[in-house]
Amino acid sequence: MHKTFEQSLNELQDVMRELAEQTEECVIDAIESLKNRDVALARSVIERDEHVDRMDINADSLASTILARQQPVASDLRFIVGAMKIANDLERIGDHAVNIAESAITLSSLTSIPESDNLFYMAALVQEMLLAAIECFEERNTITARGIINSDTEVDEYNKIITQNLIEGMSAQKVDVKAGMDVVRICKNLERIADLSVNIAEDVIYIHDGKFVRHSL
Amino acid sequence: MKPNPQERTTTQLTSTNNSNDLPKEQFRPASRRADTPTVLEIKEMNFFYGKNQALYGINLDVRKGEVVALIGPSGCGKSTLLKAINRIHEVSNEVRVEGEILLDGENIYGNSIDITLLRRRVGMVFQKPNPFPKSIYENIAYGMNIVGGFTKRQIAQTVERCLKQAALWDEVKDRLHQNALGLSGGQQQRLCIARALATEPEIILMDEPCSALDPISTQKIENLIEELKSRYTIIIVTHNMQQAARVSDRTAFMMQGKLIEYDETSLVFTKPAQKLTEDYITGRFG
Repeated sequence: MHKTFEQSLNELQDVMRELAEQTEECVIDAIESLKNRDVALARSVIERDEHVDRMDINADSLASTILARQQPVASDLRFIVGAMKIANDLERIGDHAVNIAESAITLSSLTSIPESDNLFYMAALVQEMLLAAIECFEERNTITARGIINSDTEVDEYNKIITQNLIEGMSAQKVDVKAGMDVVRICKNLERIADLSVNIAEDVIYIHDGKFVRHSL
Repeated sequence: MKPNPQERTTTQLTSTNNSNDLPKEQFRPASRRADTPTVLEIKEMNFFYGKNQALYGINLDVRKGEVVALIGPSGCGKSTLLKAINRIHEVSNEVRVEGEILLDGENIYGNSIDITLLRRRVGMVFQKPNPFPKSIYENIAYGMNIVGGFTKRQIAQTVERCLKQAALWDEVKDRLHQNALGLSGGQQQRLCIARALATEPEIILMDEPCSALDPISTQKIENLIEELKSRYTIIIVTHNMQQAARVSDRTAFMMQGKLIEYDETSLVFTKPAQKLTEDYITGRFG
């Protein structure tokens, strides 16, 4: 293998690792800021999104350069194509973390958050899925990847339950509408993070096995 | 008389007449069938140069009208395999072949094969352009003049057809009687392809046809391969992975005289089945 090609691949791997770490931290901190009503932490999540965006552009730029200059094939090609898609997914996960952080700021004055038990259980599930997706990308572990795809159903169920409970609560005027809407928004963002974690897991299977498993096909 | 493309029939390699009596069918373009039948089938072939074995148990089939790329490290046997398909080694080497190479079902290593006829049906283009030191026109007309029995008009039509098929006509039509050695390297190579087309071969073998050419000439040859495959079957040896990926329908990867993997090019270059193939095409060895 050509030395500069190997260096470029390692560089892309490093950018992806940093992007994944930054995104993961943003999600964890967004959920923590919500739990602890920590406005400063929520604001730092919003500020750090610019860095995540830059890392996404770095990954795309590096991958495009490798495609143009090295014409990779086989597993190298699959890694680069997969990395470009995963970088995009991670960037979008960062955006969802920002949305959660914004809602955390809105909800910071409340002593209790509606549906908090279900919400934080769902958040823990999503966090676990994202961590596993990033880990399986690092380790090219397709067994974990398949597990992530299967666990998305539970997150979807929680999203439905919480949303339903909130609608009922708001209809019965037991839940403040503004707070209720913010929690619905948080749920939606968590659910999207889970979906994007599934996308990452599917791309890991493509990178490793060359199989497309998207859209349940 | 202008040949009718639909009338071409498979010509038996076994010559029943004088080998100089080139059957008229030879100058008719190959018809293609929608079900793309196998035109060439190599079965359990072992190949020896004297006592040295160069190829081991090769099995490979080529469909009519497809482009097959042979890739592999230097010395892997891909050029040997290519040359075995029109028995060109026998010009200068003592060779022995076990197994079979079937061209339209007929073993080209059978006892009654007319090698001259075989080489008309399986044309070859070499790494370095090798036009005859004659005019552009004579380079293509040469074979027909040797065989004899063609009118001037038939020869002129063939020269024009071949130069057009080789995408060279527009560049040389006003200087057909100038020496071919005055052409650029890329033009010379297209002239050699045009010359190979004059006998209306079923298969054209190309041994690294672009290795001595600049990128523009290479692109012209690659475009030409794409054009020609609607009428001819092409087997190309190349060291350029990207070229194999660009021009071929199927790719065969060889190593140490063995066929390691043979599959659709899109699969070989995205998801090779064999680790050896993966390691070679990604540059991890070779």
